[in-house]
Amino acid sequence: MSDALPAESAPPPADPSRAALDAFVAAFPDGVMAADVLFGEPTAILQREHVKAAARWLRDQAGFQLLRSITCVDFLAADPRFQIVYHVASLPDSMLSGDADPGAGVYRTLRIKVPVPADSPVIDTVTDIYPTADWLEREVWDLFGIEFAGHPDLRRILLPEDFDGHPLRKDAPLRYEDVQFTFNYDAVAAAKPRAHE
Amino acid sequence: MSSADTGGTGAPPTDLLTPPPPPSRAVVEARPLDEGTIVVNVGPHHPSTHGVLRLVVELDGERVVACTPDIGYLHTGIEKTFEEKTYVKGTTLAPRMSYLSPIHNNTCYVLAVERLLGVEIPERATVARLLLLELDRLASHLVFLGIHGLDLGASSIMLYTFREREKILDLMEMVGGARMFPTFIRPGGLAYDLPQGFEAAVEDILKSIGPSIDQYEDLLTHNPLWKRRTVGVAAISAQDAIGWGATGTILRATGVALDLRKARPYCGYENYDFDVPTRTEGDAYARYIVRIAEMRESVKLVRQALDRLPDGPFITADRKVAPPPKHELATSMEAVIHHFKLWTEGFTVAPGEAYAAVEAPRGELGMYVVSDGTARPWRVHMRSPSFVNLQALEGMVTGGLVADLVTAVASLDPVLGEVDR
Repeated sequence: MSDALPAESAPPPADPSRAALDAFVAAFPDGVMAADVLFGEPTAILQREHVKAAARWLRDQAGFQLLRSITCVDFLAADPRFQIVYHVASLPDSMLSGDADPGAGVYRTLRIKVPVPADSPVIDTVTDIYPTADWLEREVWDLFGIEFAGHPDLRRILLPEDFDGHPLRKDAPLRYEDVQFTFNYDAVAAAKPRAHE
Repeated sequence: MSSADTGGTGAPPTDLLTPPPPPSRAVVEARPLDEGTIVVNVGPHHPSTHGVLRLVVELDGERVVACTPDIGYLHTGIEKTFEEKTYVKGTTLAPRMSYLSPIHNNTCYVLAVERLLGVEIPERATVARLLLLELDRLASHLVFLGIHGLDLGASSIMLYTFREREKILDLMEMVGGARMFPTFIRPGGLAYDLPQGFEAAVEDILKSIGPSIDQYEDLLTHNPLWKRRTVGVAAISAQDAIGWGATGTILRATGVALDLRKARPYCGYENYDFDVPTRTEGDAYARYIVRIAEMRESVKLVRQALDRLPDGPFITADRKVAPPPKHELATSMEAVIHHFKLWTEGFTVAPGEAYAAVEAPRGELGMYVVSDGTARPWRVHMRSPSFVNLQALEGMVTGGLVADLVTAVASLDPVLGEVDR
């Protein structure tokens, strides 16, 4: 940046979230594949090698202390097939000291999306940076079968341990269990092998 | 210990000498009991677990050594079901997640869909939504208060809180036809106009709720037994609460004034005058005090919303989103076509994704809706506050007394339908 003052025509960044997005793009020039504000939410698409460094940067340098959610979207036909979606938020100092007035400090949010291919559904965990990622990542593993490398306790969380498959994947069909009557008792029982173990 | 450490040949196989690895939380059931600890299974069917929450608790005497929540008993696959329903049908589905704050779930989902639609909401619908949201928060906090008291042996409070909650549920029935799940908030506005006598019914509630909150405070706030059971119990620091992603009253009880109604206003919250109560202790008593104060703020908000409730349309005039009024069907071919399209196919939304978040009674409730441009959502994810807040439980109870476990669970106020989804 030159030492001259910015031209008068350049408006100050009106949207603070947009400014956070620009800072994120500047910090990871190799990792960010695209960045824009989508339906009001600043969004960056990041390569998965940079997830851990990005999480560390977001928490320690950019002040995004709060990980709001982690989830996954399965775009069945697309390549890469999965997208892991992180929502993070930054709480201003005024808020941390008990002042909720939005005029005193701005609450900023950011969404990071990370494509993950179907043939190696693995991504680095962020549990060591955001402890809350523990259950959130377990949920994504449970329902989508995305492995989080380095997670301390990657087990199913919502479904039973002996469940087959990952039901929120688009190729997992919506199924129901037939009601068991006398006339179809054996047929239905055969579909429930574990009921008789 | 590696073989090099044991020094030379002739030593027994090292794997026999190696001490077992430190027990992980995950296998607390399999730990040997000769360390003087016992494992107690709490739930899933136990009144103090507020639903079907199972806690595997390891105890050393009366001290909690480890506590592993086991959840998923109420998993319904609701996110998968969303993908098979049109957007309007989703409004029926969303409130089912949390049966104590259905209006918040309903509104949050509708806000996400409306963000994708880009539709304008009439003023009357916005104000009515805010009014119903605050009544919903009151009803939810009333349940919290009653059940929390019941869990700690203060059983009389429940009778009084459920008395007031009944009035709010009666109002919901009057407005939407159902007590628990009125599904009254629809994309574009409201399902139908507010009924005659609505204002008077809200006035009735407002008249009695203030003195009732005073009565609850008389019973509990300075009650020495109540304070003994809650002050300093299940405390969490602000830093830990943020680390565990805890939001809502749990975070505000640690001194962090994160309230999405102020930070990211929706439904016009920025135009109303209300405070965000906080405490700094972070314990169960602080959470109780914050919720009581929030109830008073909700009463203020309901009063303001009722005073400024305007006349006018209750749903958008955009016929691609909202159905035409019944009388138009007799005279307008266009209305018939719109009606037919909406009821057979539903409306389509722009491709994209939207994350809407509201300040539910338990914390940040988020709905992440991904659309592929058709009439059904490609994916709906619900960021439920109970699920995320429950993670903080382990840190709250470890090292404390087993009797305080009940306080900790009650002060988190989890809804298990929301935890398991």
